Amino acid sequence: MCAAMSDVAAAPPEAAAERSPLSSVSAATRGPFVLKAAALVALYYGSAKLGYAFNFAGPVAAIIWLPVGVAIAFLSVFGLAFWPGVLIGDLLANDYTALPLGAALGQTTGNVLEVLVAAALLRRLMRRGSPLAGIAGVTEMLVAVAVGTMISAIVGPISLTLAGVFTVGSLPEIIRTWWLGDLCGALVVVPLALAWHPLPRHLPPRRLLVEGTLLVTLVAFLSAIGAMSHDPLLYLVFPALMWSAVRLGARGATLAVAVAVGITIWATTHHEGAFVFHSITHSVISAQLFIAVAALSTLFLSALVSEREAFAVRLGESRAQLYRAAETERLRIERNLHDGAQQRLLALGVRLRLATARAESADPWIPTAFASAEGELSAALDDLRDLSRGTHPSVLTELGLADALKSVAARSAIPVTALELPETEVDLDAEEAAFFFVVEAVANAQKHSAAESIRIGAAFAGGTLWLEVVDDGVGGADERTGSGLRGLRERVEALGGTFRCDSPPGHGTTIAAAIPARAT
Amino acid sequence: MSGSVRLLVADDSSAFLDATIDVVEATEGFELVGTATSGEAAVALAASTLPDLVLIDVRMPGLGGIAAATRIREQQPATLVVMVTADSGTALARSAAFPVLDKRSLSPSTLAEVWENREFRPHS
Repeated sequence: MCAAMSDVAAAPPEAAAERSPLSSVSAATRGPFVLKAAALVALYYGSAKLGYAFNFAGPVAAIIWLPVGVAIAFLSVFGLAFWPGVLIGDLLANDYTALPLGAALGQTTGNVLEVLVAAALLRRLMRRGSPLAGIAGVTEMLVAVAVGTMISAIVGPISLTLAGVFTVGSLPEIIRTWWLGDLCGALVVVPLALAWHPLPRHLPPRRLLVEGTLLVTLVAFLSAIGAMSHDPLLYLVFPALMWSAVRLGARGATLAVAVAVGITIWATTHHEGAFVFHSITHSVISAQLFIAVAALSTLFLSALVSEREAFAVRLGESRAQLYRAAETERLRIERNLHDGAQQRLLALGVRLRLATARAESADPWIPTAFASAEGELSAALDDLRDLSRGTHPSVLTELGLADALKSVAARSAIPVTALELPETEVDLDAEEAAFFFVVEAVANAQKHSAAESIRIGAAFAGGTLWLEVVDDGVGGADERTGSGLRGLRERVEALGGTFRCDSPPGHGTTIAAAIPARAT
Repeated sequence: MSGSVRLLVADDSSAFLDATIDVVEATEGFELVGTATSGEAAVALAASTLPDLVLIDVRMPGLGGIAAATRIREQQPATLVVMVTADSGTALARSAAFPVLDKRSLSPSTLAEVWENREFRPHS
């Protein structure tokens, strides 16, 4: 939507056109504006003619009226100021041989109003992000297009009735068909346009591309079978649609719906398929309900899946945050124990030994007392060390190094591939150092690298635990400025290991360590 | 070597540093030439006092004990650098990169022993 805003107001000082979409367009933006409005006219007219050509729509009744979807999507994305494009497109598309002029103009008024109202409601909704990303968004989008299309479905038929095209008695049925036709058009085209605008800059991963192509082909095939057969096979396409919604995201889901709907209607109007009943009204409403149900169930499922994915990401982030907080606290306690109480007790031990040496010539009871005091002290130091060891990360105790590293990979917001993990169990100190090394290096990459992927590797060979964390991010990491890297080096070197950081700007970062370790 | 062994002690814990000073004073043939509470200060002080022996704590703020010990050994190969640690069971002790003295056994006799055994150390 941001891109759309800047498109409308190409010259920044004239951005008023976007702030107030209905205000007159200034001279500076008129050029691109006219071009875009002309594009809208062409799209509107083209989709109307396409509808007539495929017999989706007759002069007044339509199974699905595509231009309304095209126009709502266009105004939602590029701004309400483009409404004259809808007006001109609709006036051009009217079949004046079948309708009195006054009735045609009334119908056009309804069509323009319907687009303006739905697009205005949708633009409000889009300020909060894509309506397709959650159940609430899809629901509100449904309300927006249902309300908008209802205007046309009331204004149009009443105009035609006043002109004598319909009888008053047939009005309710006409309104229902009209409304469902417009609603179906909007439900197919608007989500498709919102999902695909702006177009993705990169091709999707090969796996998704292959799966998407197969699925859309399957949808097309099943839709054709369903719509052309006289047997009740219509709903065969639903598993494929649901599959698209679950696996392909909003883009794939909306494309699958468009394909299914297109083929179903084409088959319905060109063959004696499942929707051909003795009454035309019966056929039309059956097809319309099929379209609405297919579109809505796919859209809602796709929204539910993206909601769940977003939730999983947030959950992962908050778990990682919690974990980091717990680790920080654990390190703080360990450091306090080490630097505070432990040093004092060690100093006390030294003084006791000094005193013992001096006291040897005095009362024989004194060295014995000192020796037992030193024994107590030694026990206290052992307790303290055990307490400190008790802060060994529980994930390591429970899972072992290889699985603990896998859990680090699984928690990362940036995808982490574990190339190699150690099969041998090594001593606790080396294990703990290796674990922290990988945790810190991955956290560093997440914070600073802007990488798309991280690879971790760990292997035990020749009394050494070899570790490597490689990202494909911006590089340029500097030990002298980052306390994280310095901390890593200190920790590794404290165990007699070696540390290497290789981070040429623009070429990713490799952090490697070799830690002395003992197989257990 | 004639005269006393000139000794530099680096430890960020004032409690243990004071105790170490007492041990040095109680050990015959050793003379304290300086104390430091960070790795950087230890490196600078070693360069200006040229001690025979440096006792340096593994865990210290800033540069850290290992890096400081490595620099001192590079600057003054004749100086014996001994790491002092409370965690002598760790991989550091096994790495044999530096001689290690356990804080739990520091006394005049172990201090003298470290100096006497210097010839057997790979780096002294």
